[in-house]
Amino acid sequence: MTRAIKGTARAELFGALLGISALVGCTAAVEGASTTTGTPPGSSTTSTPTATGGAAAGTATGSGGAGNSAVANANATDPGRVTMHRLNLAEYDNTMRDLLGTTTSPSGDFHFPADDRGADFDNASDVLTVSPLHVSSYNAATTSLIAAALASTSQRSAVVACDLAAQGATCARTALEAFVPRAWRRDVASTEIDKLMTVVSLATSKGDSVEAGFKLALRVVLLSPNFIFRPELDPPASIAPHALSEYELASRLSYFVWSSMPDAQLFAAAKAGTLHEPSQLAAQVTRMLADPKAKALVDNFAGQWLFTRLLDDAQPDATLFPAFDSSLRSAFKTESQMLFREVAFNGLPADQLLTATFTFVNDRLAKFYGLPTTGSSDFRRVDLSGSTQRRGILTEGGLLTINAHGDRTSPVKRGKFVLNELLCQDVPPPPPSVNTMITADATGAQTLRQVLSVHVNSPVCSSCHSLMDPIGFGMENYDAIGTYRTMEGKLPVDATGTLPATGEHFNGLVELTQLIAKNPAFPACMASKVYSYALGRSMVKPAENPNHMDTAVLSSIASKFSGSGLKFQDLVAGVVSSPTFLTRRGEGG
Amino acid sequence: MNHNQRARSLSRRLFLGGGAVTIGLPFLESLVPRVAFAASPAAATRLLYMWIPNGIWMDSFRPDLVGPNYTMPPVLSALEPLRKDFSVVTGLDNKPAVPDQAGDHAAGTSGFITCTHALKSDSKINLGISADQLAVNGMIKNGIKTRIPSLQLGIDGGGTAGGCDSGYSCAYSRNVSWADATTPLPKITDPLQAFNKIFEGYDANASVADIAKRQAYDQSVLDSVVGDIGSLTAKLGKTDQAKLDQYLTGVRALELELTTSAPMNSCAKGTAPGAKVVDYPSHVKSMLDLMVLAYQCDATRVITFMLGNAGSNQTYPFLTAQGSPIIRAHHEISHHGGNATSIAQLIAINTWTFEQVAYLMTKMKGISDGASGENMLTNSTIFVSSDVSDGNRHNHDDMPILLGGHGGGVLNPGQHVRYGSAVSAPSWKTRPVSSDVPVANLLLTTLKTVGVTGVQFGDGTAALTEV
Repeated sequence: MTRAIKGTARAELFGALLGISALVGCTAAVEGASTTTGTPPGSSTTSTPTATGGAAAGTATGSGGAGNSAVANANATDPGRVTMHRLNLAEYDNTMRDLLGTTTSPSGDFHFPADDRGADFDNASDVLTVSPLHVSSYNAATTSLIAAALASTSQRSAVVACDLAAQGATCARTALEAFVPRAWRRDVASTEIDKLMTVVSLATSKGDSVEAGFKLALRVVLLSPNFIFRPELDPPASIAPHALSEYELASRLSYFVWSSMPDAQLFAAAKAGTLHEPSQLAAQVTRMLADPKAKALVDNFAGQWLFTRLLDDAQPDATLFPAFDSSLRSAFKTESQMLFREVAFNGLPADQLLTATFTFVNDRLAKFYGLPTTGSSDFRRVDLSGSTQRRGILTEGGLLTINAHGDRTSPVKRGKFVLNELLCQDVPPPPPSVNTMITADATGAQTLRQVLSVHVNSPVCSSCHSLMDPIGFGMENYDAIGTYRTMEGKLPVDATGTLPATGEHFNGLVELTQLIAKNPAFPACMASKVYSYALGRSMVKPAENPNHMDTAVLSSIASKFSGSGLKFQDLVAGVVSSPTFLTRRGEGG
Repeated sequence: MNHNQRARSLSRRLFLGGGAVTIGLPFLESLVPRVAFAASPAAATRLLYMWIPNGIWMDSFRPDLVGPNYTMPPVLSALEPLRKDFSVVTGLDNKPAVPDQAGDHAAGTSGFITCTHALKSDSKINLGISADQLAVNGMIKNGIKTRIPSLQLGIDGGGTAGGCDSGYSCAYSRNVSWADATTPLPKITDPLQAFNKIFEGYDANASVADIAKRQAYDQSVLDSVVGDIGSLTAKLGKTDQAKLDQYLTGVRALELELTTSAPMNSCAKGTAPGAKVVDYPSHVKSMLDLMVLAYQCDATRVITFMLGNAGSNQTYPFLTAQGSPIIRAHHEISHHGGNATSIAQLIAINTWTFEQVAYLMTKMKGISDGASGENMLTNSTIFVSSDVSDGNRHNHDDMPILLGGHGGGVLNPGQHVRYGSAVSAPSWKTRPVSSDVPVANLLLTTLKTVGVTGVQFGDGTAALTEV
């Protein structure tokens, strides 16, 4: 199938139309499709309706893979393997914070190359590559951070507790014996310390201080692959599944929940060899989620899943939307983070992300939403149970802004966000040759919804847009920065619609969010996003490896999540107690 | 060549300046303008591969006539004074850049100078070595070493959430330089960081003894790191070993930067760029200036430059088309669908882009280099192209290519060279006539200008001799 499509794609491309093969993933079978540009019709290929009825049946397709229609192989035995993980930008910064007490952002200050993303997240180890630019950035950062840490009274004691000047090499050795296991996140052999001490003595042999030598040794420690990577070792020449070591598990846990190194308690549990015990694991998860460092899940998991990070780059047209300024941008971001945190960390059912009858505003945001102000710039929880305009993340100004163009709304982007991120349903991009430049009617004679009806009239467009557009139209009561409106210019907004997959009717976004929230694809999708993020790899589909445990494990995690009141903590606990999180296998020979 | 051999082959000459410039120095001190490096003039052929996002409006790029007497096309108008210093090359195909289904920008960008078909996956990458890295490897083999083997420069680092292109990993959209199939070489986008990289290791205030000591320390630190890499490698499976090998390559490159120095041509350090990037045109100009500086100082001879990332949504409010500023995003505009407004905007954007190329080439031409009458431009090869040809059709044939410089005398600039069909200006809608001559063959020609021959590359068969 893939091979045939590839051949078709090549032939079609040079024939000036790639339309048909690009449709795989949407519903319509297209015969002799013509594009709006008047290019000649393509061959009469029938696309595969992989996504048809996905939302209706509570299944989804695509990279997220939640509820994959393929039958899970309950007898699968392969837990898979995660490629050796390089610390990503956020992890590097957080690790330096917890290791050295660094309060700056080295990855930003020293211009580390942007992390590539795979499977939605920038912690996917297969695409966390390294390059000479990484190494030279690490070198610059390391040198500077070490100097800063040793120069700061408060930071210094975390690195060296004795008096280097007075006690010399003895103190250097003691300090390294305490520091290196934390930096490398494992027990360190005395021979490894010996090697570092030779670097210390090089400096003293050249007439420099022990302090100078100690700095050089710390540079080695922090440029070592034992720091930059998270190695997980396999028995040689074996492909048999095996448990992670205690320290490897401690790192998996801490980088999942905190995007940082394990703390003293995790190290202690690992040293005692008890971390694999189910009760210990569950207790650690509870403790870790209650720790302020769990905000990393808000920044890095939710920030990418729900696109919150993109707010930093949003550029609404300043002439059309003078209300959008840096304080609104910042308030949008805070609201999004606080709502996620409230639902995820306070044991609320996760569908309240979509249906919460409360949110968090400061006065700036309250004014924007038309809520009462209190004369305070602090964020506070406000009740929305009486509101017909705001409820859950889809009505957040920030999310509506991110999923819009700079000068107008985008029902397409908004619909696509719901399908891709909340229901894990892939929608392919438009085929080339299609004129995607659709501008709003400058005369104001037509609403954007009316203008976009061109999608329905073109078979090549409608196959996918019939899935996205109705959802996006339901969000048309909110302009490109999320201001509520009932009129688009001089025309009334029509935010009614029918979900194509289920036939359910809605009028407006608040009703629409209820339908999305009760769709079983939503919790399954959320579970698959957390799963990929936790493991730092994309889910392996049965077609790629029928013996891989991912499908069965994820299905089990998702059904437990759904069955236990959709508590985020249960989802996290379900993921970390799964065999794919606790075990791995080698590559053999 | 394994890494140990490579390490032994590295020369460890003393610096004219110092080791790692920032070590032990207040940050700002490294920015103080200083005098020139010692002069060591020698003609050297340089390579630049410059990538433009979202294709070109070909009707305003493709010259009317083949040969030297063509009318300068509208988007190239700024290059008229340099007519004899570049060629326009049309009709070449980059077939490996055709994606599996959607994803032309990602596959076209990753295929730009790899001429290799990217594995379609959002979680795994597999491509191939790029022409610039083949050049570096070949030059090293020929005994030509610079302190920085190659420099990757760009404008955008990359977004922080959301997909990049149609199920292709973001690595494909952001990198044109690839050391091997799984190692993209990310680019420096901050001008100050690029400046510091070019001048890293230059410290006029350090004594010879200071320098020797610092190099000994750097060497010792890196030797220890290499030792750790070796111990860990022995315990890993082959996939992880490959990743660690990428790291080792990076450590070796750092070692080269910190502990050796290439002979420097006469060059002034000049003033460091501002720490804050102001706007897009200033950002681009800074990077172009830094390229010339890097060449002038012989810090490197091989550069790639990306004027954005694949599917760039850069806006151009400083340009106007049909009387209005261009506030729409580039990628969106490039899907012009024949719309006259979009096309006018594309022409304005393309014209501005080639004005930048003209600025660069003019600046290089003004710098004498080697023997009398030669200048940096005569001793350079500049390959400028995009991920696709027409931004609306996403075709990977009839690629828009500008080949600047004289390649040290190897090239025949000053002409329009067309491959395949003689049609000089078909409508953008017209089915293109594939020449079946790969872009890779032209890239083999660019390698020839730096003395690198006899290499296997992409779908290349033989270097083109007409250009």
